Amino acid sequence: MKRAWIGILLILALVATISCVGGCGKPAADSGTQEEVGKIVIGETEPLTGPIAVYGVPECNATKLAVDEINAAGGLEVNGKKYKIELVQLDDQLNPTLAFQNVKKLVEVHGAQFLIGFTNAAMIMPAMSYIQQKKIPVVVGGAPDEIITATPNPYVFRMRPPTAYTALATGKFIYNEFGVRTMAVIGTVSEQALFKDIAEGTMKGFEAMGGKVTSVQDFKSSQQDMSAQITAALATQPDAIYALAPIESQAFVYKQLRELGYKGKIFGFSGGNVKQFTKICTVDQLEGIFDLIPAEINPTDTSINGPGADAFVENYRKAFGEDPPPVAGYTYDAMKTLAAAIQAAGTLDPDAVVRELENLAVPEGLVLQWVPVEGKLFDSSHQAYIPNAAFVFQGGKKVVYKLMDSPIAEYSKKLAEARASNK
Amino acid sequence: MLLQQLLNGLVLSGLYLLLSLGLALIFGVLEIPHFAFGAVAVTGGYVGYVLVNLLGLPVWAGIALAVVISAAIGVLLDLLPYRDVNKLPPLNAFIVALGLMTFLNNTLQLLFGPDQVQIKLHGEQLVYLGQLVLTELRVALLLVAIVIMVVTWLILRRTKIGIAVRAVAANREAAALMGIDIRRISAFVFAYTSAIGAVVGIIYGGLYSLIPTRGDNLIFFGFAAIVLAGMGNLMGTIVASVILGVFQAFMIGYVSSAFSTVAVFGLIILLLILKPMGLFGKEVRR
Repeated sequence: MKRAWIGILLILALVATISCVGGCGKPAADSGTQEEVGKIVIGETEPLTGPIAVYGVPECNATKLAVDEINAAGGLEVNGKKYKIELVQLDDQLNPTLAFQNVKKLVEVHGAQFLIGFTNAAMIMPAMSYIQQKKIPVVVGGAPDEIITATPNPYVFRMRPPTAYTALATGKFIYNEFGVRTMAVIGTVSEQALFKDIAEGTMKGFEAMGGKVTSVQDFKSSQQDMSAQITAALATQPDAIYALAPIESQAFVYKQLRELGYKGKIFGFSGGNVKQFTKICTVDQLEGIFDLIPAEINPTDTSINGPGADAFVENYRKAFGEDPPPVAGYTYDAMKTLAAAIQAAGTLDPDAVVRELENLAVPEGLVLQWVPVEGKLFDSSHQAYIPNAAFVFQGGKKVVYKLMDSPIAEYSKKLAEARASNK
Repeated sequence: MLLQQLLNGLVLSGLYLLLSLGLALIFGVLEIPHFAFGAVAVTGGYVGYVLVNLLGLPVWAGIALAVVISAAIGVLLDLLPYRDVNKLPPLNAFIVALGLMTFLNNTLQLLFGPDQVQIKLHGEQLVYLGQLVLTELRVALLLVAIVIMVVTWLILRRTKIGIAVRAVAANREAAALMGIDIRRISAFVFAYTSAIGAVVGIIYGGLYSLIPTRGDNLIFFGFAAIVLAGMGNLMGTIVASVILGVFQAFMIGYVSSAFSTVAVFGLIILLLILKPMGLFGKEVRR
């Protein structure tokens, strides 16, 4: 009979693997109010449960805040008529199938005319042809994968600069700014495309300067003990460690690096704030670690953010009782940008709104410091840009260290070429 | 690096050992594949989280109380879902275990939400052994694993109830005929293993973090260890746990971190081909 249990164990392993992507769906409450005058339905799908909810929840919060502000100010005036925005937010649990179902549900059940959100490429790519077929203008918020804007879809725009844009600057910055000559890389580099992209780009930039990558250590985001990988990386005696993973996994890397006695330089790519990291590691373990990312919203020092940053931080705190995490700025600005385009178009016709988005200057009052390309918010590939920046954890705060290179023209050209080759 | 990787591997082995010890006891004595054991361990961890983090009890008191509460939960498991389940076809026990696992996962999710929590055990200080380094908590895990292993051995060898447990494991019917109260033994085994589960859950929650479904991952390696050892073989389980943890750490350190889990299960499959009943399982001839 004991042999039978071995067979049953194999069945259980299969069941456990299939059920890994667990969690429960949770449609968000509508934030808008129904007005007699007119209603614009905007849909958003984000991971509100599961390991990436740490990104999805603040992204949804920020969109809701933007919608509440627009509605409180009387709504959008489109060709002389007032419209209130009805926001419908759904949970995709970081499941591509569910994300696609959400898109269809938002459009076909809730009547969404526009879409916001998507936390990474896997959530939007399956819906690309549907979006084009249904002519639904989409402004993607925090998804960092290059493929989104490298895929020529006339209805899709994206706020967050792709990882490859940041990677172009990161390797050179580590080499030049800190005199690092050897570096070990630890991250979820085989599991997640965006971290693979940023790792490859950073290593390429670092090695182009003459630096040497001594070790590349990989782990899965479900893993919590990376001490074997860290030991292997430290055995190569690098000048610095470059770590890249989702926030919760990244926190374990930082914690275990310190627990293995490492006192050298640590650079990361995560976009997490102190509160998110200190769920796992201590303030002492975070001290002196650099985060090399786009210049996202940073409540403790908004000097590198846009003109609306301070008000956003204050309003977010009032509404949700905590500081806005770095990713929150993208969806807030995505919502405000979409609203500006609809107003400027003077119609809800999707093609007219797309034309406005293509020609839109940077709207006033956004929370991030958008750098226009030829006077427009989006380049020819429908991609927007903010500067790259280095942040450092100091005394329990994440402070701005300095801006890094922001190779917008160089990257925009490469992206346009990639987009053209995908036609 | 070799010795540090060995230490890293032994820490993993400590976790696998405690998990597989509980599983091996229940399977060895009661022949129940307690697939919900990971979820029971995580439940114990959450009890510790409530006591230490939320109610502010001292760590030692929180752990002690969580162990007692988990033992009581173990008795309840024996009385309710698992009652007389080993008299039924094996598939029934499998379904009960799967249902219990789902029930515990969802109850924890309802109570604590999907976000991860870490139990504040305060063991971050570094302990240096020459060039080698471990945190206090990792040292504690190793010591706890050794202590529980020794205590379990002493209970099984030197106490009346332990001898009765071994008698039931060896021959259930004969043990019953000798006057051993099988129900009492069953309740004891569930209570004792659930208490071990609580220790695993609390240490895991302090060293790493807890989410309601974490037990699904934990049970995977626990079962791997007892399958490798030979189902229900206690001493073999210890050796198998050490092999698993150290082999995994060495694979990461010297071969590739990308394929370490694949390699671990590849090793198990290879060993099972060579020794189908596990490393220490008894050959069965039909």
